[in-house]
Amino acid sequence: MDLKSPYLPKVLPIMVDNMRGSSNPLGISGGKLSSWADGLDLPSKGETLLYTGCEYQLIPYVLTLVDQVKKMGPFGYEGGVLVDVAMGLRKLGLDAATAFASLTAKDEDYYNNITRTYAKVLRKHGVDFAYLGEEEPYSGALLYEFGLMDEFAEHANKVSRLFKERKVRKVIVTSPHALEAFRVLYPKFVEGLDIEVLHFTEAILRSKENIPMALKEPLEITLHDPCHLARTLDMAEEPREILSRVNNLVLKEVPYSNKRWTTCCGAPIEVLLPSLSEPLAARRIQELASSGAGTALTLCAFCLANLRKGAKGRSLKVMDFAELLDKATEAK
Amino acid sequence: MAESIGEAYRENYEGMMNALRNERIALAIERATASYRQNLSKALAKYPHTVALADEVRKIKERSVERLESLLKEAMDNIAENKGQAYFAKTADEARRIVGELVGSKKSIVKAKSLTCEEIDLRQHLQELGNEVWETDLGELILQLRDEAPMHILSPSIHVPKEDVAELFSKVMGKAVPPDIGSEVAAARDFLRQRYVEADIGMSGANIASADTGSLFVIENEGNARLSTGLPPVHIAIVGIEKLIPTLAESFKVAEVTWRYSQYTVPSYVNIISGPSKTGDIEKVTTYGAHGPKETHVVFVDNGRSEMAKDPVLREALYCLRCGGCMYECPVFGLVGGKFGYKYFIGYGAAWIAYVAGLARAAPVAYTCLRCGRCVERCPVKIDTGSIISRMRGILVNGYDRFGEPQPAE
Repeated sequence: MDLKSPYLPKVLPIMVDNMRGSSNPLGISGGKLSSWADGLDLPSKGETLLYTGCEYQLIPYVLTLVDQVKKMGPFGYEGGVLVDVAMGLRKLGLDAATAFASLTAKDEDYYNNITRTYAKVLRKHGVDFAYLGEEEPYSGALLYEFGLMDEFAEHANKVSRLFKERKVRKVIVTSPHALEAFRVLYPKFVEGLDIEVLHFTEAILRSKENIPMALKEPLEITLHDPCHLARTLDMAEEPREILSRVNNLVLKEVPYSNKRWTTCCGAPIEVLLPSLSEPLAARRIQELASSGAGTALTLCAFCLANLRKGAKGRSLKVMDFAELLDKATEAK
Repeated sequence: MAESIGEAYRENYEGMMNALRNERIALAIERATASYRQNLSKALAKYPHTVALADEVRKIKERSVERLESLLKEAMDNIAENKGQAYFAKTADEARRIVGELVGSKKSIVKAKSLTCEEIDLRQHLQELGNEVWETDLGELILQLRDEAPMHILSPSIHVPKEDVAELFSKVMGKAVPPDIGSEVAAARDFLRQRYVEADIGMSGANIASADTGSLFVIENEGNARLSTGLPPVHIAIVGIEKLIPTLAESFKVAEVTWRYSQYTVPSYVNIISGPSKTGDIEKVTTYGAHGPKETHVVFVDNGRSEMAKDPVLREALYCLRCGGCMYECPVFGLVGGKFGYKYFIGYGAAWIAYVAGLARAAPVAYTCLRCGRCVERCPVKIDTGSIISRMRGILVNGYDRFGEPQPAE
């Protein structure tokens, strides 16, 4: 595979290199990405797996990378001259190992805790699962997204083999991108993949224990549908169905731009084009605020991070869906 | 033309950033989007059959793109039979040469809006040959006078507010034009009226070309295409071969879906042109050149389209009816307008750009697309932008051989 194509934004080959070394696009160790589960005592073996795709855990690193890329110019190209991002990072004294030194512990805790919340909420609803811990691989969705099809095929087969070896029958995913990868893309690239894939919301809706959900104080919220969940996967109703069971909660829809007509938060280009991604997030925050609700929920790590950026200095609060369900089940 | 890939990335980026800094662009598009959505929803409510008709049109386009070569031959034969002249240009260069030879120099030309003419830079070419060319579509005229490229395929000057138009018209027309839209429209009408009458040649594109009758459809509201194609003694039409549709009957279906998704219940005019004007009123002897043009020339342009038709994924982009609906739904377009593109706009446009302008121009557009898919929700023929972008990015990674050797990266 030739990743020297001159047409490629220069930041992409680096992500691919990282995936080869560590199975995730930013080269972060499995130990760090699985630390959220410390003390939860999750089994590492079982037919049903909770799959996080490392996504929320990776967000603090993505945010730091974006800050570095911003100094480097759009697409990793600057002033018409190719800039090798790895070189650039080194020039700034930020090689891959130290690039993330400026990571704030606050960010890390916040996003790790969201993954932890997903696990806690599932357990409260009586859903049992195992977790692969530091062996959990990234889904590869980004490879497909950026057109690295051969790498994606290779990665998809690697992940599928791991699932097979571990005799996994069912996977519950916390990310629309991982869900799309497993449900829509893997079948095109992997022979004989026979695993049931459920989104977090589907797992909750199917759980037999009907856990009462209520908020202590009345709350008006609006929902930011992640594009891939609402459109590609046609799952706009599942989160709404769950929210409708939460007492004291009022869902106020964004005019027009909801469900299949949801507006992208800008996250897909946050690494390549941060200077466009940020105004897109700010625009979406305006739309979400026009619902009249004071809080916006979403169900995707990348949407969450980008919308939080867009909401800086605004009164609208952005929360993850799992955070709200967690609150709704501790109320009683 | 950008000389290198890095330069193409830079130009594209700077264009988008400049547009982003101009807050009036986002504001103008926001207003246009609100009114587009409202008008479309009214038009679809009044004619609810349009949605199913659009599915049928997708199938018509699929079948047509499958056999462009035979449709082209049939259309050219029929145009000749109608006493028009048909030409085929394999490349943009060839198209410019053919039209250049037809026009010559020192001619006065009135021109209706045509994306294909923009694609091949025809106006500039004819001006360089020493001709006077006037854009007659109001939006295009504004851009011509401002020396700017279109920002949207249907509403090219979507980003220019009425105050700016008044200032521009006052300067160019040498009289005070007040900043109200009615006065501006009237001023444009006065300004162009004599130019239609004096023009040696009228030019246009076409929305549809029916192969079985050799007929061109030109859909419009202003009446400028009617005058441009009807008043001067010579009409030259520039038509991309993807506009070919097997039959006249199917063409009406394509036309209705096109204008409906352009937000119209019905447009003011649908011009159907099949050849030069003629009369048999004196002794039943057919004589060409009655009140309309005496000559009708149709230049079919390939410029990469037949190559695009061979790609199993990118061919979808050829189904585009140019209704412009997708652009109102694109979040990036909402902020930077037509700067998200190069001659062709937004995500699916990357396929067009690759074939008509090369991979270097297509690359930044392909990597800017969010792949969010809202354009597909709007598209009457459901052009699958997600797959087009994946495919384009795959080609950019390793499949560029089909587009020739990559250019040096500096």
